[in-house]
Amino acid sequence: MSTLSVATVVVSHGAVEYLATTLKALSVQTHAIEQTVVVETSSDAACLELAKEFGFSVVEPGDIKLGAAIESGFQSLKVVPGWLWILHDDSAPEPQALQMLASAAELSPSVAIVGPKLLEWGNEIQIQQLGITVTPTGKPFLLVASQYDQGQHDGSRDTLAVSTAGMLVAAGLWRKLGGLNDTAPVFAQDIEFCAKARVAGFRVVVEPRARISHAGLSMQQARTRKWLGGSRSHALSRAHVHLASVLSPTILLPFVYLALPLAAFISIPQNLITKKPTRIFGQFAAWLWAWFTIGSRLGARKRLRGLGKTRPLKDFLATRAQRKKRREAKFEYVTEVQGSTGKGLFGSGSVWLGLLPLIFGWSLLPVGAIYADRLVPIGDSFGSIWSATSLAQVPYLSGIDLPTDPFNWVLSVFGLSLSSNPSLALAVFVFVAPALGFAGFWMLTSLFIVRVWVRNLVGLLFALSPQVLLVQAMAGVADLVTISVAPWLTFVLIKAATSYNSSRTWRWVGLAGLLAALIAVSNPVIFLLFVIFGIALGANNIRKLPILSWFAIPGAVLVYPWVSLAVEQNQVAFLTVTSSAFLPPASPYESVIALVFLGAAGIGAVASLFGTRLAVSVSSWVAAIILALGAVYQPIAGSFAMQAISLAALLVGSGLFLDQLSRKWVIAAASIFASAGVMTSGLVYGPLAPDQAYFGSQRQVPALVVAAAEVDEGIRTLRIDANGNQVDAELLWGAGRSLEQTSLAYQLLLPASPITSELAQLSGSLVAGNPSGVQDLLSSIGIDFVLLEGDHQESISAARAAIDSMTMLQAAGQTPYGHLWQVVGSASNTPPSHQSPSNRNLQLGILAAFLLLAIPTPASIRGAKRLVKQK
Amino acid sequence: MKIAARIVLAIALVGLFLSQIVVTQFPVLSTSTSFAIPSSLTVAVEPLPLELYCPGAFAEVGGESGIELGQIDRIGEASIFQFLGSGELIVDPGLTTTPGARLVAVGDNQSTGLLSVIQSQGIARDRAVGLMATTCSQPLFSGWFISGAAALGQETVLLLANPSESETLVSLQFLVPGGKISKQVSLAAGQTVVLPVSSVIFQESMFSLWFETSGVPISVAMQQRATAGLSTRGVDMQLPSVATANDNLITGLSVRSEGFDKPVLRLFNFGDIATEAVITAVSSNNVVVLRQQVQSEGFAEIELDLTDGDYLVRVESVSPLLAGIKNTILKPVVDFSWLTQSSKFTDLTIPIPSYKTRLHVANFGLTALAVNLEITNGTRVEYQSFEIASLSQVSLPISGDSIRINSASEFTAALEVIDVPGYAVINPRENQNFGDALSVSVR
Repeated sequence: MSTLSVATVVVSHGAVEYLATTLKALSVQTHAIEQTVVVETSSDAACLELAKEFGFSVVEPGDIKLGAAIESGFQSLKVVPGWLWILHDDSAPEPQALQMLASAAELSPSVAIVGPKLLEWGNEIQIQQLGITVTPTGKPFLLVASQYDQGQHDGSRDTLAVSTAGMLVAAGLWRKLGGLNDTAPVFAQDIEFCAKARVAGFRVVVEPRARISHAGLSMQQARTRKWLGGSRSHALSRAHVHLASVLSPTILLPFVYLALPLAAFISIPQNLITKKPTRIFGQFAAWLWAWFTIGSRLGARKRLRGLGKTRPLKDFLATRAQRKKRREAKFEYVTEVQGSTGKGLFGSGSVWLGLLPLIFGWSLLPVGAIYADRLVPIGDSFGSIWSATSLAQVPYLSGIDLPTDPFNWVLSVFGLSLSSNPSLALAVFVFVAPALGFAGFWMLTSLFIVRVWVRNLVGLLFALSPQVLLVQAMAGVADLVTISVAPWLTFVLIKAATSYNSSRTWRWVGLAGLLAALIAVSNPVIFLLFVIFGIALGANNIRKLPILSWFAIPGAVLVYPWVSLAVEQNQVAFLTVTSSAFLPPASPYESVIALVFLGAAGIGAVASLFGTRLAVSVSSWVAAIILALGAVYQPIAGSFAMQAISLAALLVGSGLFLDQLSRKWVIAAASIFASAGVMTSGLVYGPLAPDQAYFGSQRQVPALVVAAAEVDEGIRTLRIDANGNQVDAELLWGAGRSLEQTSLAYQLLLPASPITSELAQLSGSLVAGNPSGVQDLLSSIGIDFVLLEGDHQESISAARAAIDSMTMLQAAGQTPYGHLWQVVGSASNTPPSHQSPSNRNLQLGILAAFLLLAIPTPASIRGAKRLVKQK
Repeated sequence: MKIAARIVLAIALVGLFLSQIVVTQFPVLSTSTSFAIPSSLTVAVEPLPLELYCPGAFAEVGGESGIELGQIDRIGEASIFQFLGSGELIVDPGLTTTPGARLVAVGDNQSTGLLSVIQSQGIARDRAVGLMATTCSQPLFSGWFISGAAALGQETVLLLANPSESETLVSLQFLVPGGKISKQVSLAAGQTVVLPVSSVIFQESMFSLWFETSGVPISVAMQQRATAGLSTRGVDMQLPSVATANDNLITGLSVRSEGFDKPVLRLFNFGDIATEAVITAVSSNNVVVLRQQVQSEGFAEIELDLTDGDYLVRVESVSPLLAGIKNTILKPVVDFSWLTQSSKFTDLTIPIPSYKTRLHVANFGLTALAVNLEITNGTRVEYQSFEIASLSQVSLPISGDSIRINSASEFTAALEVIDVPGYAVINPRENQNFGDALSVSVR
């Protein structure tokens, strides 16, 4: 039996329930305690009362830091003991804990600090801590963590440091070292203190037989942020920087400080790819904190080195083997419980059904650039599309302060996917969009519907519904993006909200962010509805909400300039459309087959309200209602995407109903009815539908202009259409106005330009055949070509004769795009000014961050790599 | 949840879903945001000089006897009547022309108010008797004729002239029932060509002609001569229609020969889809409405069974059509004239030929039209004002040097000449080059 004289200081910070357990455990210690002082730093009345009930001394020093709190407890002791036992309010010792610690302390006079085995609170089979050390860079490192306690570590050993929770420290040493350094971060205080003890020539040991349950409220961020000085990751980063400052060799210290910003930046992708994005802020904050508090770090360093040589500490640093073992330990994981049942899209063979939309849409098999009512080809390379993406200034005329179409982001994706022919990529997307929608909807329904045939059926009903095929037939690219991406986004958001760990949630949020960005630049209203949906999912699982809410960031950043324009112009209508290639408004009640689909889906969804999955069914209804009501508002463009997604929501409900059917004849009837609907819709809106989209050449201006534009991208072509005394003039630049160069904002607002009057005068002079001033105007505006086109043959012919009479224009002949003249001796132009896309860099950075988050990294998420290795 | 609660829930959800039907009625939601319309800038540019061309005198094919192969003579002289407003005539052919004449004027406000010219010629030959009168119009790049006929007793001659300083190639496309025949004619600068249609097509009682030049505009006129055995049946000269139309308006049809040759309406559909024409003929005491199907790339001819009177005729169709009416008179000589699509004006000035002339002013609009006439005779100016009811026309005899007609709304007009030499209907055209007040929209 040990005879050590021990006094206990319990530092409490308002956690009364934990304190009660701790004090109760303290009161039944087998080793005598001379005095117990409870230091309540939050002045919590319940804690104070509780301590008094146990008959312990109480100190109420106010809201002070850990070191000061222990010191105040130490100072309040009636009799100075030989040893001081420090406990936190969330560390409940087993009855023999102190006895074991004391016996370890008695083994050698050089042992001045003894630490216990910390076990998880409420799960005492799991070791939380068994000694602490640091990596060679100064990062705190737990020697044993998150391991089942099977006695495998039950041997007393020396260590660099132990936690203050349960630390038994010689009172003399405490006095000598001046206690904990409160200028150090919380997670570095115990390590610094123990390191000083080591440097001063004392031993620090860990005694596994002393077992203490530790809730680790600080590590779990269950305490106030003030207690930690920020978030957990912030506190850990600070501790890392502090210990690096204190422990690193003098020669390296300047480099450590200079490398801090670099390290913070380099760690961004690493933190993203390991799905720990919250660390990024902590590392940046730690860098700034270290720079602005360098005096404290240097003071701590001086005090440590004043006690002796630090070389012996190296023996206790975490070894390469220990660090490797820790990394591999992260690969161990709990098998995810599958939310859905049945085989997957590929395993079930359902993926082959995705060919059906392709068969019905065979007439849209891409054979070139696709054209439709407002759809024209996009630029001939990724570079040309990218140069028109997310600009703050439309490069029309002499430059106009309007944002380019948000949908250009999607066009850039097409450009990136097939840089040699982006228009073909766009055409391919139009062709496969219903199939993508089918796959997404199948995946979504797999979360709720067990039977594969039901998923197949509702998936095909959606993909081959009039609501979808009509959009495909009209090549409404923005609506098709929304329709094909929305089921995937819904699926991903639900997966994010139901993931079992934060890494996995971050991964799904990364994917959701990218998909939501696609929808945001295609239909901001639907994006807003998805944000509400995401928040609702987060509210249902409040722990996920802080992570889940991040998915809206990329979309919000991408669509922000457009929203700003809408606010600035006081035009909510702008939010309903993002592309010049929008579809015109149309009544949802025009197609009988579409109404039949809607009615059938509605009946199925009503029936599902009487089934077992009421919450899902009601949620589907709510989504369908909101979207249907939203679809009524069509101030500029048709709300085809909303109508389609509204139908999809009802089909989810129908699927729930069909999933519960058991009678064979009912199943057969439902299948026959649905299949007939699919076939009818597929035929009527597929092969039998009149062509509304067609394929043509990528080029939109004469070849001569295209060739000139390849040499000089600032080529300007004045396009003139004459009809009697009415003349329409338009200035084209480069190789013609492709879709990304067509500005919806400009079409909607048509702001004035300083060269409008010059263009008008030049156009008038040209069609009138009056050469007076034409040369000057051509030079001042920088016109290189004149293109005359139009339907009014007589006026065009007259204008042609008039322009032919101009000696400064050289006829280039009749082209498929009209009569062309080249300006004789035109000087090369400065390309239209593209305002520095500073916003685009930010947007791109955020997209890149979400891309890193979205990259599936099995090693950090599922541990698949580890499992393979083990085999 | 109890079944009753679920039923209530289902009813509520379905009701909310269907509420979209009600929501569509809210004006706030159904209001569409219109795109900004580009503001039109009025640009004043001095236009090119106004140039008109008179086709010239009667071309006699085959000599006086008609049997001298290859013989083509221009017979006599066509009289030129001109009105010159506040401008200067820089090319003036004088009072008559045989091969065709070019008139060029410079001045402000190009229109018929600056320069308006007609030509007329009474023909009295063994094989041709009648009156040819037409406006002299600006040379054209392309145009249509509906009135072609090249069968027994029907002779058509094209008078082609290139008044410009550049050579050009003219593409002619003769559209006959069941096919088309193309021919190209090269016209040197200043060259005039008389082209008998019989050299291109044979025995086609009706054809349409479309022409187009490859470069500069040209003057094309179609001269026709009709006979019945040894009897003459009149002569006529027409200018081309600029374009086909869904709404052909024909002014100045006077039916004076009831019981003889009825007016014949000819329609041509150059499109790919058959269309139905609705023909409305209106006089002060008679309204006739007819329907006629016109096949794609096909013709239709209808005899208009009309009582005597002055008619305006409207031909409406879904697809654009060419329309023309051949009208024949008995007295003082048997003669005919083709009436084709009338132009719309709000201000028209036209010289008056020195024959008995009647002016027809028609209102095809939906409301009554107040019209002012200003008839100049030497230094004397007469003014008249009258109102024309919707879908009606006013016909009145006029004499003098020129007449100016103006109104706040659009009207159509025609001059009908019936005198000793024969019968002709002059269909006035606007004379204007781009310039003056161009409206330019910059996008």
